[in-house]
Amino acid sequence: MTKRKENPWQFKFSFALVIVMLFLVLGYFAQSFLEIRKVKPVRVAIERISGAPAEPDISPTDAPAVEAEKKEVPDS
Amino acid sequence: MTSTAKQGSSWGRVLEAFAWASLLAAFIIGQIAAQTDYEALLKQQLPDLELTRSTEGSSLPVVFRVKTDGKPSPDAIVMSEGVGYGGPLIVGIRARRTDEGARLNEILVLSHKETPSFMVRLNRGHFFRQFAGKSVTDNFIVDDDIDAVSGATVSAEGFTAAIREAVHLGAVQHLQLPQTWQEPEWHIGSNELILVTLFLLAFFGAYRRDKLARYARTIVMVGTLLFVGFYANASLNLGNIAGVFMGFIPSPKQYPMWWIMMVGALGSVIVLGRNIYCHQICPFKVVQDLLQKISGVKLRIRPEVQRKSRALIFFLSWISLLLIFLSAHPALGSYEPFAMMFSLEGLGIQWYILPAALLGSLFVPSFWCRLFCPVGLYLNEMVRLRRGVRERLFGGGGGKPRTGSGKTIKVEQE
Repeated sequence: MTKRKENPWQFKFSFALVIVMLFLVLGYFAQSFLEIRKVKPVRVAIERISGAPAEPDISPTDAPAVEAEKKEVPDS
Repeated sequence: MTSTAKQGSSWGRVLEAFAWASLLAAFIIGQIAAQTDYEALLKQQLPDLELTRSTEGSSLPVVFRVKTDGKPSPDAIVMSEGVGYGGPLIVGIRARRTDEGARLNEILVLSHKETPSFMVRLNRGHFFRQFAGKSVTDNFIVDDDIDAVSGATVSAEGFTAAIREAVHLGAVQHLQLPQTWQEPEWHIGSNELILVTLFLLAFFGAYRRDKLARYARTIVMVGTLLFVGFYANASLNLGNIAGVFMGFIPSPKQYPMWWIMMVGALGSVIVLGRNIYCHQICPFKVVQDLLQKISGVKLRIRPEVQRKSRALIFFLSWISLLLIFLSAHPALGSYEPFAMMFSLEGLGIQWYILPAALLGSLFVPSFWCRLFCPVGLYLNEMVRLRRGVRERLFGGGGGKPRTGSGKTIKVEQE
């Protein structure tokens, strides 16, 4: 049985691809986390439990969509 | 077992327990935070209006009477909830009373969990504009009096269903109008038949090894790329799986394709013990295979990276699930590039993840599937679990667990 010849160049290149992708995915998580922080889910939950006026948990991605729709829909 | 191995094993258990506990905590916090204060949500969008809730209780739809400058206005706002592709969505419908009933003059998207690319599609397709001026007694049925937007069909269905439910209930309860509209029927059309056919052909191709099976696999490959990928953009992702745990399940009437996809993917694992979805139905796998054929380069991965890929995907999906549960927003944590690949709409770092995944697939066979895909790992783990259960119940002799393409799980996870 012949042993497959190891090629360090191949390993290095594929490893670099994996590392780049890993950092990108972690970057995506960081971006998502920042989005969630804008929504402040934990604060909203605590305020509701204590009965204080609640802050709306609208997603930050909603605002442009709503604004766009407001502009698009004519007021009859 | 040596003391070092024992120590490693106990650390593994501690980490596993911590992972489960943190996911449970994130889920509970997310669920508490997701309770909606409809009035606050609406007042934030329409701060100039004086709104009076006309029905008590929290059940939807909630109707608000509108007053302007202290005087009653002919407008009312109805709020309702629906289920889109990513989860629940809340809409506010501003309707104005007329002699024959009432007409819609504004749709407010107050909250949604849709993948941002789907929302971009709806807005670019002027989806919400078509509701303006419609009577509350219209049908509000997609492909009837409402046009869907290609590539965001489920979101369009979800929003339409929420609006329909709100205006029709408002028409009956508040305007005492007779029901003259049609109720939506089961939506089994050509799309659903195509998806069922693709699954059947995939099962056929997975079990047979003759020329006919090769033809079937080719048809499935082309069909899934064009239909599941570019046409329906309905690839399974971690958000779908997390959504099930959070109860974001669309009704079969609203989105039968979701059910066909789930039943096909999970059914093939549970009933047949094969991961048919990853190997034959996933359109991103087809893209990766095509890139491999184009480049002809098959770089090997360092063996230790190969061995740790399972742990890496579990780690990534743990972070992803934490984000999803905490925000109750499945699309926020799903890091897969599928939706973006087939819609070419994305936000932020997603624009870099997709090209990097494609570049990796050009040089390393099934780069994404082997090293990063949580759906593939979970389905393969289910195949493994099923095999274990089967061996316990019926004894050994089950042989190696096989995936849809006939490869062993070990090969898949390499």
